[in-house]
Amino acid sequence: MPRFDVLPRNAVATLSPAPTAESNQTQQLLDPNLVGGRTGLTGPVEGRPPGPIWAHQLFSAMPPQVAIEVKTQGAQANTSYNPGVPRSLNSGIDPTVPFPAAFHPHFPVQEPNSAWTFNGTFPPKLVIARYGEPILFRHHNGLPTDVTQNNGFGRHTLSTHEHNGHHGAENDGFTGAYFYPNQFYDYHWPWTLAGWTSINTTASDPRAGAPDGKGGITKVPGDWRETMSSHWFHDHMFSFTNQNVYKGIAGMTNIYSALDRGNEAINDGVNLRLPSGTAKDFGNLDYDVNLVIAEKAWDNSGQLHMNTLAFRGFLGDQMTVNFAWKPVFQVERRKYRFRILNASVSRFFVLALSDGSTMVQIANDGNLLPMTVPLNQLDQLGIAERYDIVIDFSRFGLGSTVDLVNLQEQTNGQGPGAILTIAQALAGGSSDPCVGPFLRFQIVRDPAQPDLSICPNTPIPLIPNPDLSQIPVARQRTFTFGDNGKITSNDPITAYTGSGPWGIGVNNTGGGVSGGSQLSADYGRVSAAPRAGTLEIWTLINTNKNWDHPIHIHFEEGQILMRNGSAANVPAWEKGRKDVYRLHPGGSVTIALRFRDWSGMFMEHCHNTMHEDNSMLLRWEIDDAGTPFMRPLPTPIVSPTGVTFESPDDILSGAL
Amino acid sequence: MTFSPAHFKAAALGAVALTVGAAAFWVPRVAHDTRPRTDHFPNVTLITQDGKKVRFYDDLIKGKIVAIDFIYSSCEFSCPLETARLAQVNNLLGDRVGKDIFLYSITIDPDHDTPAVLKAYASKFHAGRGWTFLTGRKQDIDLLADRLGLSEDGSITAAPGADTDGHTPHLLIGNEATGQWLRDTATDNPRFLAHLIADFVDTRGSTTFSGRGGSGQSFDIDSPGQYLFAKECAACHTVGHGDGIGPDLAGIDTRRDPDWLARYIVEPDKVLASGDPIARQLLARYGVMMPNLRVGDQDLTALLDFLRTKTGHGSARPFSAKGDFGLAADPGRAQVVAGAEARFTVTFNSVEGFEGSVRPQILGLEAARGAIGSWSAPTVEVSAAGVTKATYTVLTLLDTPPGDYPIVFQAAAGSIMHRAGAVTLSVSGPPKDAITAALQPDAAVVGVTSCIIAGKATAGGWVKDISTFPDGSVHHLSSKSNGAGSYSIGPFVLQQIGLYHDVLIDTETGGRTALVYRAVAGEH
Repeated sequence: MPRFDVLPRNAVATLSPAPTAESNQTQQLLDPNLVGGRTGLTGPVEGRPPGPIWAHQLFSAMPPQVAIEVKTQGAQANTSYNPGVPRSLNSGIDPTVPFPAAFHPHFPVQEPNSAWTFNGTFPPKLVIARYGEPILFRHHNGLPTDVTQNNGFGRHTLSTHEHNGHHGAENDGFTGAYFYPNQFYDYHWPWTLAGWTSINTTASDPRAGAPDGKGGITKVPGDWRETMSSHWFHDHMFSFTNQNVYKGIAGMTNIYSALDRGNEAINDGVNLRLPSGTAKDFGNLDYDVNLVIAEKAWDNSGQLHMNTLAFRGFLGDQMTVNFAWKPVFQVERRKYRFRILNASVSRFFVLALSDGSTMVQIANDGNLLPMTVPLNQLDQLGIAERYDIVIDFSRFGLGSTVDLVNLQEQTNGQGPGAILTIAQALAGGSSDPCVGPFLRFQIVRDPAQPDLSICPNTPIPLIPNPDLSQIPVARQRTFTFGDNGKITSNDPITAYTGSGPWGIGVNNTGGGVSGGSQLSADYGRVSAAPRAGTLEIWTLINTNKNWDHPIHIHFEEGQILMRNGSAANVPAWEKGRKDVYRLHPGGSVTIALRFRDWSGMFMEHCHNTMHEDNSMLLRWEIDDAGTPFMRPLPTPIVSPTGVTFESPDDILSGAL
Repeated sequence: MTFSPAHFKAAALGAVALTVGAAAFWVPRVAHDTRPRTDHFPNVTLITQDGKKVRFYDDLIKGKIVAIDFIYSSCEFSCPLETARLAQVNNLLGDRVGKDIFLYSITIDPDHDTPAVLKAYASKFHAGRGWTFLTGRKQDIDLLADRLGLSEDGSITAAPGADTDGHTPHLLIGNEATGQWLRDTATDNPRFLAHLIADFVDTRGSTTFSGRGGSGQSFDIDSPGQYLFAKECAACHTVGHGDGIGPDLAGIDTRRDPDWLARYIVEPDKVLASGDPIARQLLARYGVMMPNLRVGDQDLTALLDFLRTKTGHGSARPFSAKGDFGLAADPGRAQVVAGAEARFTVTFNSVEGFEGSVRPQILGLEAARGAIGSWSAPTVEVSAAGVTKATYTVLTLLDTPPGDYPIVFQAAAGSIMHRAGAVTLSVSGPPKDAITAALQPDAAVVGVTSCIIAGKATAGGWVKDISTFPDGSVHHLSSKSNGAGSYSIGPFVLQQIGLYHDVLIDTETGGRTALVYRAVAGEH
């Protein structure tokens, strides 16, 4: 199994044209394919909507320090594969040999239009980030200008969502702010700690910081308890997210901080010394491995295939890890950290080791837990959820193997079925081909250096949750999901009746990664939208008896306070902060959320397959008295010749 | 077997040897769904509103840009809005509809929705050429809905009050030739829907429906009710610009009783089902059901505020986009003798500069049987300077059971709702000043029978009759008691057929009783 391909971190000066706060509207000639064969038309070089509203917030206060430039294009061989570790730690793969765009050595190479990914190459891409070090992610769209050149699935327009970044929404990958082939879109990811405008504003706490490259810490403002570690970034194209993510447009981000430094030797009283390595000051990947799990399907030519008309949810039939089928990963007899991401379209996974031995869960949705949780079987991993776990391979003998097994049966795109025991799964007890072992660890040698990482098989504290007890709750809301997400409760105080709340993406398994019923904002609720700097308690209720809804809330991590009405029902591995919440059939989740720090478009709306509203956007503004409030924005209407804006007032012409 | 590029072979397309090395687990199954996409859409036979038979794939979608939804003509929920919205889209798309863009609405109730019924339904919404309404065999339509991702499994939508009629209010938009398909809600902004159909799936980079909203700057909303009106009402209604699919709403707040209007907006289907004559009149005149869009309390408040402002009545001011308000009720405990009146004062204060109209409401009064109440004004103007007060008067009946009743006052502005702390209405037994009343004769024929209300009151003074007519309007009659205990009100002739309810007969000294009577039509 290949490790992720680390994207180069370049100087910002390498970007040409230089990045600008507002969208670069320099004109270029348009490929006739984009405009129905017409010639001589022009459009902007950058696909970001123009104007100050869509400018990078605080671009001059937090100028980019690192540039990462990628081009999404069709599958091709990788001649610059950088696993970030020596060959011996990458199962012997020689990165100087061109790495094919193939899921297995014996599978045919993927045609350029079968798989699309960052730089068009396998393995999947990894961004290395540090707090306080803003990144300018310049994303070029190098896909075919002819929209039909897609081998049956995927759309050549893109929008990139960094999940779950705490940044202004113009950089969040709003699903309606997409860009065309031959354009680029600059995403500005400042990597700030949540609470940076209100907590520890003088940056005087070493726990709120980032590795400085010299063994020390660069302090940053914000609440260190909000430190995040494992993200992913993926396409978020309106109505085509699941197709494009399935097609390969997904990568991961490791965020390094003073606490989670990616160096297991530095013992400064802050660094948690989780399994990583020692050679570099930060970001050692030697024993810190990203795993993206997704199941795929191929046509009878071996080309990646998807049924785009499977509206209830598409299920592939073969597991892959890091775009590899039947992967084998060589490990040493010591602890490894695995950052596991579910990037499938509709599947849930339940993971265990084939011998039932211990895995220690250290993070949920990329947030290190208040206490680590030793487990023999992980909780269901829903689409877009991430679990970071540590496995100590020192308990295995040299030459032995152990497999990662999926126990979750699923034959219906709308939700998971039965969870098998390890014995049943290994015995082939399910007709679901994705149940069973899917990743093999080979224990090949003893480590050359001692394992200095700290992560025993008994619980230890990592990062406590922010203390919310002193913060008054500004509002409580109840959202009931049933019947396509319509609100059915009529309690006037805690429930919002009518067309639903705003900003919540319902990851209905029928729609894929970010699909399903999006409950959008409503202008009628602008005044009741969360106010800047407040804390709210949201209760999400699933009245459907058959559907399992993962719900993703952009922008802020929340804390789960209760499940089904009781704090006692929240399992240990959910006691930290999350951004994807699974509502089991008939269940409910109560979460605490804070709304702060950023102005501009707050949350984005309008997902995929069904949305309630044409993408209403809200923006924080400050009035004359210095009080923040929210205002609606017009919707961007994107075309190759440029972005125009649709005012919702237009709907009333002739009526009033 | 390690995944190593050294083992990689550039395999030719087509023939793939799927033999794997010794460490393989098993021979994998190949995904076998390689059918051409065209097999996904069933080629079932449907019948148009003109009685013509067509095949779904061959005749309706092959090579075309289409928008498809499922409706049924007797739907009480979102279908009328859906169809009205699609009518707006139809207008926007102009003469492309029928040329390269085709709209289809398919009934999920073929037993009732024959071609003739569909044709009548379509004409109520002014459906143009190129928009076809279709029926057929139930099993064919069910198959179609499933394949198009537009059906809903009733067992899944088990939420109470949810639509369980088996269809979703969603629109499938697609370009069959290029294989691009997406779904959106059928009730979305019509310009956006037109943009999706004409520009987005057309993929010729056309900008027929580019935005007209200027520079992307944020803008003021006058009121949340305006947006709600745009989203949910403007497809069928105007305010002052004549009838559309539904009536012109100018002056609606004075033409209709506020409580009736509130009920009708929130649950028109129930109002109609109860035999309400106004609802029946409206259906007879416009031919289209007012849909139950499950408007919530806060949406209702916002809509009513908007309508009141738009028609220039009342003192409702534009809603403030900022700040908040609070309210407190006084006294904490109001003592009242059964049959008498109690008053609560609710004080409103502005927080962070909130200004605007707030609609006050009460919870809990229904437990005090027979008691009714009214606000000093239907809305309260909260200003940023100072406090504003409103009075709520509770009228109890002689037979309102004694007891302590918790009352909660709440108020809504847009979608903010706040409650005051609970207060108590404490009712004690009825006074010795009792009153009886009866309609004489006890059956009245409208327009004919001369009636009086007569009875005994133990004290003298004015006796009043407050009647609520069947159409919701209220009238008052009064008379002076003759002091000897008897009184009579009238004579009068009832003018409307129906149930006269909440008829209160009360005396100046606080004795009260209630009457309910019915008037019927009769032969002259």
